[in-house]
Amino acid sequence: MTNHSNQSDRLLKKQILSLNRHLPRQRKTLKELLEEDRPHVVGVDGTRHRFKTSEIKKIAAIIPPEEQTLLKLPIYLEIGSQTSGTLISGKLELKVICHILKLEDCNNEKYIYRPDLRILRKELPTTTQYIFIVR
Amino acid sequence: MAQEMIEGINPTRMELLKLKQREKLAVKGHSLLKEKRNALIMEFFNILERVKGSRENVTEKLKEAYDDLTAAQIIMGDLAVRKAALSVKESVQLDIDSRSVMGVVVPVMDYEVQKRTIVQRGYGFMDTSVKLDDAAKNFEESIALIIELGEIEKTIILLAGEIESTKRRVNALEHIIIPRLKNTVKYIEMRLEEMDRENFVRLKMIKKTMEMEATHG
Repeated sequence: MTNHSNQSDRLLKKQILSLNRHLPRQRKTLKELLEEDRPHVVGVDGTRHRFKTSEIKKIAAIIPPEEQTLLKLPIYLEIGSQTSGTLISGKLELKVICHILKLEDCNNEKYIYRPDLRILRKELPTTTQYIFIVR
Repeated sequence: MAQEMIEGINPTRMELLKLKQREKLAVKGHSLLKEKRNALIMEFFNILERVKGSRENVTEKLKEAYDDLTAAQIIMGDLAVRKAALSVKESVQLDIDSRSVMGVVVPVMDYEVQKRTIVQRGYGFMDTSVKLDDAAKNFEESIALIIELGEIEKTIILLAGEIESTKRRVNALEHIIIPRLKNTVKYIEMRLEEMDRENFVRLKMIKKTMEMEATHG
């Protein structure tokens, strides 16, 4: 029994840990991505994540040039096991999201829910990524 | 239906603590995987919306293009059409890469289709028909649609596979692993309580016997 339970525990832990393996090793700033011919980041699992140029240009139109070195892409959409919404944090990140979703009261953190998330992912499918918060 | 339990487990406090830890982990894993499944389904429907009518558009455009091509072949002859086709240069710049949707690597196709005029295509006007121009124009337009459709359809297939496997994991946790752990925890708690009660009664009995022995002695 112990062997079996250890194995299933290990598998479950592996599953939970592998939820975030698609995240980039290092995010790039909007300015860096605008200068690249083929804007992309490399994930922890070694996969390439390509950004669509049209999306980057769309974000660049929202963020003024002096702040483009501060915004890192992809924007993380945080999903937790205890909360139902999706958390977005960061002033510049929220500036982009709120502009796209036409939301008000965007400070440093905001929870968005499924209907908004759907629109957001439709507008920015490559420049946003889900991150699963394991606590 | 009999409640399923983990077999061969010892009803000890140590085991109870371990099982409670496992249950906590399983519940957390279940919740996260469920979120992943829901997000994947949402992505799937987002892409499904893009595919609506896309295949019909491609079929329609290609039908028009092939009709024009056939007409051009009838008017000009097969050889003349081939000759004209050889002088046409590529008009599409396609860059195939990948992106990751929660671990599912799906293709991203960045393309640029040049809209060319009749002069830019490269063949002469003297020995070619207007139907050839129409065919070329329709083929050029259908390329963008085909690329888009290819990206969408491949993404749909890959996402569907991932949804299926995530759903299976969520169901296994929800219907087998977590209930089994809960039942086992409940069983051990009941066994421990029972053992406590047994101990209590045994002590009572010993006390009573000792008291009786003291009275008779």
